Amino acid sequence: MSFDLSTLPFSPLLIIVGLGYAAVSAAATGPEIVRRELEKSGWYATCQSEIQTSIQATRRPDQLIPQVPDIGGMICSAYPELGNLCQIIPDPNAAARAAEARARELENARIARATSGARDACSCAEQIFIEEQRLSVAMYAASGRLLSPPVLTNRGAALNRAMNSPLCKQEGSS
Amino acid sequence: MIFGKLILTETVLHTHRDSYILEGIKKVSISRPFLSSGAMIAGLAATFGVGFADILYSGELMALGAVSLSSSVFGLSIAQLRLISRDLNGAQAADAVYGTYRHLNRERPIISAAVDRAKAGGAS
Repeated sequence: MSFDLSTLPFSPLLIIVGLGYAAVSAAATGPEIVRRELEKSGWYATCQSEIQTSIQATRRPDQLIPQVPDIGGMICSAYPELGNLCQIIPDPNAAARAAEARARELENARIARATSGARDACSCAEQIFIEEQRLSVAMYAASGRLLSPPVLTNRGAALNRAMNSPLCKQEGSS
Repeated sequence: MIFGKLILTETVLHTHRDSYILEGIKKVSISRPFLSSGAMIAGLAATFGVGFADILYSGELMALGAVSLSSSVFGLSIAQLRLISRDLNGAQAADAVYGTYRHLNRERPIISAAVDRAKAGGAS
């Protein structure tokens, strides 16, 4: 079946312009507008600080091993003249202190690693949000804010949902 | 300005692509084929620029303004000369030639007068 465009009550160019504008809004301007609005609203800073706070909350206590009295050290501090004797008595905390320092080092490294992934997790949440709401984002950008779908008016909830998605959790922990 | 060629003789109108026998022409018309799409592009660019002025860079705002202005000017100034055929029962013979609206509108009465002369000459 043939279709004659010249029989339309409006110029076929209007359809081409409309489709082109919709495509540009969905692929380029929409995502960029949402990114800039999130940047301007300070969402990235809030997102990163929230992630850092939650990571810090998982920090293990510093003191892992209970302290045992250091008899040698006590003798030496009370009787400095018995220096030779107290050096013979081993410090029972030495091994524990070394283990604790090592554990603290590992914990710090884990926290630093998790914190450095915060930016990635926030970007991931933003990316997933834009992908999931592609149509709403395109409508919002194409209309110049005249059409504002509820999901974009209240985007915090949708972003939190995106951040808790398995993909972004993986991103944040890497 | 005319894109192409428009040469008028006693009985024939020659363009860069076709020649039209004046006697068979019923109506000479000028239209602006890009007016609606130009206005649409101008409106969309202006809506986008005004709507997101707070997050767009000044260069982007200027580019949107330029797009809006140039598409309005383009839509308003580009016109098309149409010749409606008598033999084809009022159907459009051809989109004869494109050019600026002002220039083509100046040519329109000249072509109409030539059509009248050709018809008067053919009838006698």
